[in-house]
Amino acid sequence: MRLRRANGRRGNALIEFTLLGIPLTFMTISIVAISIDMWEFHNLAFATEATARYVTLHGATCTANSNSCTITVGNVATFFIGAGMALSSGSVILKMTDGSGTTTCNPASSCTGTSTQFPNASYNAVGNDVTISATYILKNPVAIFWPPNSDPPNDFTVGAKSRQRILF
Amino acid sequence: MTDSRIPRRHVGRRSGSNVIEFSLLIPWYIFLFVGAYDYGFFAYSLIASQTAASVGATYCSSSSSTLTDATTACSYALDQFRYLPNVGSGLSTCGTGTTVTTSAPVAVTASSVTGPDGNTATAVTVVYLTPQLIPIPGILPGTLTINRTVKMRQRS
Repeated sequence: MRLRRANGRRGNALIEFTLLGIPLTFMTISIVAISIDMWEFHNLAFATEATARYVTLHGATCTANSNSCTITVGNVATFFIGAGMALSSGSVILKMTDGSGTTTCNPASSCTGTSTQFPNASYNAVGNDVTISATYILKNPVAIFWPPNSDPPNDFTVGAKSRQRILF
Repeated sequence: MTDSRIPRRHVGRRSGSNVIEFSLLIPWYIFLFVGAYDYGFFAYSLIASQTAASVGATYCSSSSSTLTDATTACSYALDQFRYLPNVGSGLSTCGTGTTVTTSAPVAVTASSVTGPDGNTATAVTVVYLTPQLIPIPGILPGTLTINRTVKMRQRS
């Protein structure tokens, strides 16, 4: 059926919707994207804190009195990946620091098989500090700057750090 | 399609109605975007504050001589906030008492108290002032002051 409209308005709504629909779609995608980004952001904080806590509860006394709960760099990386469920483990740089130095897992998933004891035996004592820090690349939430993984500043690096004392 | 029930004087005035609708919708989209952004920082700050209080209390509860050692508890607390823009790697001191300012956004107090079981314990309070974010008038403040307290029994 052919429709005729007064004043030549035929198709105006379609054109307007097309012009405004594009920014509206980008904005909708951006809201979803920033929500995911922020979830990843605070999950990074949680995973870092939980991992540091995990390490401090598996310290010196794990080697005493025939206990066998000492942990390795691989255990720590695996725990972090489990706690950071919102994060892509291939994009997290995880650093574990004790008195003997820093072990860097870049990315975190590359260390899951590492059998080096952590904290290091020479530094594994109640009251000593361990530090867990992690950095993660967030995708730019403003969809108009996509595609992702392009050169900076399209992506943002965020991080979290937790220093705790070995408790047991 | 033109509705024959619409008075003729209204015909031709609907052009641009999508623009008006879009304009009415835009603030809500912006608020949603800003709200998600603010929420992310607030959630991160809450987790860091809770951890700071917990780690500070863990240290202070380690012996009778550390029960009120707010200075060392402060250094532990600051290390939970290092990746927040208003703390960074350079800040090494906390605010006085529970007073926080933009230049000293973290304050830590530690006191000796009697725990719920009647034994000596420490109570560590961490107050943190979040960085200035984007406010939504009447709904979300631009900054948030977070106050967390952890009590922990003295271990030895």
